[in-house]
Amino acid sequence: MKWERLSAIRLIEELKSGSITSEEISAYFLDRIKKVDHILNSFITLNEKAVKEAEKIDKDKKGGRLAGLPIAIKDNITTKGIRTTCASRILENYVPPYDAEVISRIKREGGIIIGKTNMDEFAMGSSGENSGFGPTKNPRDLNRVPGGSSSGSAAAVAAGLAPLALGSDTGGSIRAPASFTGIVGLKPTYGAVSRFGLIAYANSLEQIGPMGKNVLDAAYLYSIIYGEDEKDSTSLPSPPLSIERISNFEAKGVKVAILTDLVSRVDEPVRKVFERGINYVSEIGAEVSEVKLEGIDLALPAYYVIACSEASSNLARYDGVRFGVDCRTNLSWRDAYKEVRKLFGKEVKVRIMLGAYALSAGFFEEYYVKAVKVRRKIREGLKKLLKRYDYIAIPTMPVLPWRIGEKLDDPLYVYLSDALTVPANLAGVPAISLPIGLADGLPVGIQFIADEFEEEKLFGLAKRFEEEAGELGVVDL
Amino acid sequence: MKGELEYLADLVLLELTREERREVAKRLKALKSVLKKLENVEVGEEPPFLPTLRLKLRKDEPKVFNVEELLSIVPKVKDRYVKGPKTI
Amino acid sequence: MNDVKIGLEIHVQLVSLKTKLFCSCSADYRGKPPNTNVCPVCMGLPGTLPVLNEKAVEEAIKVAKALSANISNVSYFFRKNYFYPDLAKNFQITQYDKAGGIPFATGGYLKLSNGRRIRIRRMQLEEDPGRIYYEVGIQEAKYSLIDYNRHGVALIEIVTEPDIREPREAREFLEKLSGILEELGIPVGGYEGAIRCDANISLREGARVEVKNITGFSAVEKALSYEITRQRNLIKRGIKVERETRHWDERRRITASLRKKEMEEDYRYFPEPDLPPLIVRKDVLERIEGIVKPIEEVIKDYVKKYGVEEVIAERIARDRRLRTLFDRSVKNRPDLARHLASLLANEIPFLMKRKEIELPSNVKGLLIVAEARRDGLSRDEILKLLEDWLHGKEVIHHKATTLKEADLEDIVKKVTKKNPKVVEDAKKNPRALNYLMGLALREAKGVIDKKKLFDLLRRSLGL
Repeated sequence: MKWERLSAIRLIEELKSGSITSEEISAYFLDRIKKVDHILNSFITLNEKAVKEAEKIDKDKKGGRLAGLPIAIKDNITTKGIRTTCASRILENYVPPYDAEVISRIKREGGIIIGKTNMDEFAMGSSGENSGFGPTKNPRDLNRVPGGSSSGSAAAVAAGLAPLALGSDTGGSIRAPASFTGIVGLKPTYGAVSRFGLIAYANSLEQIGPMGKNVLDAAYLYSIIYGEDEKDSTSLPSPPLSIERISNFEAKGVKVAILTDLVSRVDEPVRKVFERGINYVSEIGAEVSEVKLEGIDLALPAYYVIACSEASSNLARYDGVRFGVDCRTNLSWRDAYKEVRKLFGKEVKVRIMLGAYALSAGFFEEYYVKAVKVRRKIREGLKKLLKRYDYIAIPTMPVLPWRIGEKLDDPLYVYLSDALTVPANLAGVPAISLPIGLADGLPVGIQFIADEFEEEKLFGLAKRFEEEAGELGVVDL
Repeated sequence: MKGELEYLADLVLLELTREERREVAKRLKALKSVLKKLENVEVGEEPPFLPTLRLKLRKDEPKVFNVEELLSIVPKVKDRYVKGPKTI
Repeated sequence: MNDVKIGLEIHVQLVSLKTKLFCSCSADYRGKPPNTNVCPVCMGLPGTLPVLNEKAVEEAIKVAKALSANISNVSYFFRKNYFYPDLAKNFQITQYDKAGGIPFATGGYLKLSNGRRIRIRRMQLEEDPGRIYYEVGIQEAKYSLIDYNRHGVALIEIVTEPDIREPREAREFLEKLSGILEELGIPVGGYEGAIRCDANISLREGARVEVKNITGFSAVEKALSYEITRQRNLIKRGIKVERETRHWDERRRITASLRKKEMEEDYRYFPEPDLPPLIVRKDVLERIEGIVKPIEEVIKDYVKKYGVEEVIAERIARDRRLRTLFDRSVKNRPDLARHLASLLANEIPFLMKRKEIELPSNVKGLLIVAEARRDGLSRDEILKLLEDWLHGKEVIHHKATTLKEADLEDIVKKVTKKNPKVVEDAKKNPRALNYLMGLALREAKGVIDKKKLFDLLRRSLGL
């Protein structure tokens, strides 16, 4: 039986009914990963204890809502006892002594952590090429990037190596790889999911989110992880989410706004498919309008200033003294720290330095303060739009997945590819990406954005859309 | 640009190898060009943007963490102290 | 010293808190083995987040109120970015008063005994770093030993304006502050390292020199005296005083220059994105306003409302127990205010010094003693009554012994007989008359009608 073809929800039904055991399913996927992943490089660490843990769940009959289903976790989410590297050499041997809150919630509902997935180092990147453990490949085309930074999680789901995965999204890191690999990924409202245990890149922008083959799978995983956490001062309470209401969502009459400014700037093949997507949106009964959002082109620079500034501070702790790679004590402390921090990859170094630059005396007003103002205006602008319209629809990515290594000499190209995803992070509103179809054999995703804490509404529209556009399914490797 | 690169790297205790310097300089240049758009933004003083406006307070009740587990991941420990480099 | 400007930057540990500022580790670290009061949050492990201690906010409000400071409705936490082995995250969560930042409280003051007001610029909450140790001398050592037990303990930073003019004043300020904190239930004096001070000093509008690492109030006075002398000598020799950071070497009794790289660091302050703005809730503020009144306000109240002398008012205001007793006694008998105040500021502390007893709460008894004082009883008699009161015995004031007119005549006769020369003087000189009156009063044992006594005296003199 090709279990990877079944949806996660279906697998859970099978598990609950007892027709399969957690041990069988975990062993199955673990096996598949070991056979296939050397092609993709989507996992950094496998949980060898997974099968034993699954056995225990079967024995204790403590199924929970995940019923013993294996889940892949992006390697910047802390897992107790399982190596957590953020795809960085500096954390090569770091085994955390505590679980992230989302991991606790998953375990409480009987989820099995099957392994930690590859990513751009410290979540800095949009392609999956910036990993200290080698790039991940796009299952849809092994010569191309899967998108980043949740590259491994996306590839794993798209290739059927795990039924569900967790990613994190700071500037598009869930949605971009979801779009490039043809799966579903949600960036929740800022504060909806606890960041306790998410190894920080840019605290005010990022959220952990679900990734799955289809909308309901992603929604199901979301329903397990979301909710306020007293250990995260920035988390907020969410209204209750109902999978049933999502399944029965009525899309007729909803108002969808397309940001024409942004759409006009995407590559031709992407725009063509996006237009098809808009037709689907009309087909399901929505009213489509074209709107302009002033100042949206300032979103990208504002994002990079804020993200890099926060990152430069967040990554200061990596000095080899309390955890991670060992620091040499026979050097003066500044040299000892420099020695350890040499292990950061190039992109990480770039962003740390840019962040320090933006925060330094003399440039603080030039960059940081301006970025904060732009951010405020974009948030106001988006929220205003989302009062008039139910959703905003734009492509997820302005380009098709490029060839691995092709853009190493053109970093600007990669930076600009975030243009469509960063506005939602700046504003703190939820956004989902799901496949429309293929362009030259490569997936193109559509992005829906809704107002804060309207995840259910977002999933609902996405569900109706998916029924029209269809799922891309898993790749047979 | 080189002097600026060295200064920035030193500020955050990063050391760049020669080949890295070229690559990092290139990427920094690309990023800075993205930031150029901010030049025309006019701004006075801006209050901190903190997306969450709800204060969370914790009760003043001590909780114990398994310290041995914590110390076991510290790279170098001596007599329970964390061993570090000299501070000069 | 009018050409001297001294400002203090004081760090006070909130020793009344059970846990650290941003995590639930016990804050009681003194005497514990290294790295026992630690957790992933205060060790700065990746993925951890700070959560604010609610009691820290209350204590901060109390301290701000006691110093008459203005508490900001909203204040922000900021990150101060610098690398150092005693800083687990290589940034400190603190507060800031620039770049859009607002500290917890601004303004406020403390008045010194010489009348000078030392204004407070700001007060803010921040976390304490850990401690670094060396087994041998720092030069020969091959490594450092770091203990994070203290890391994350709550501090309040209090920065004054450069209003202090003498080393002695700096010391007094710290002692007064320490006393106020003790009254609030934050006994920093009793804990090693719980109150630390850096001083900024400049002479004649010259460069500002920062002196760090001063522990102990007498050390502050010594360090500042030394530094003033050092700077004066330089000025005398025509050498410019450089703006720098020095540290106080307790052993050698000098201030020594710290290395250049420790100065003028760019801390790249920005708002702490993991913590929402600190909003002081109205109900919390009101509850604490009911408990804590700014010292200076209390003093002003006593002076204005009850006519108590300022020096006496200050002595009472600074001590919570004395204040409580005074407030309760004076409520029903405001007429006895000055007498009560005097007893509480002078005789009672005098008696209590010699004994190890608790201050009684018997207001009735105290009022009786105050009446006795009003009625002119001698000091010895007052002290005796107070002894009874302190030991919980019943206080009996011999109100019954009101001297009759006949007694008064006896006193007049006695006094005039004993002092014939003064009597002659008194017939012409009013001062001599007063002197006679004083002698007569001293003879009186019991309650007397002073006016009557005076009239009798005058009549006896033929006036």
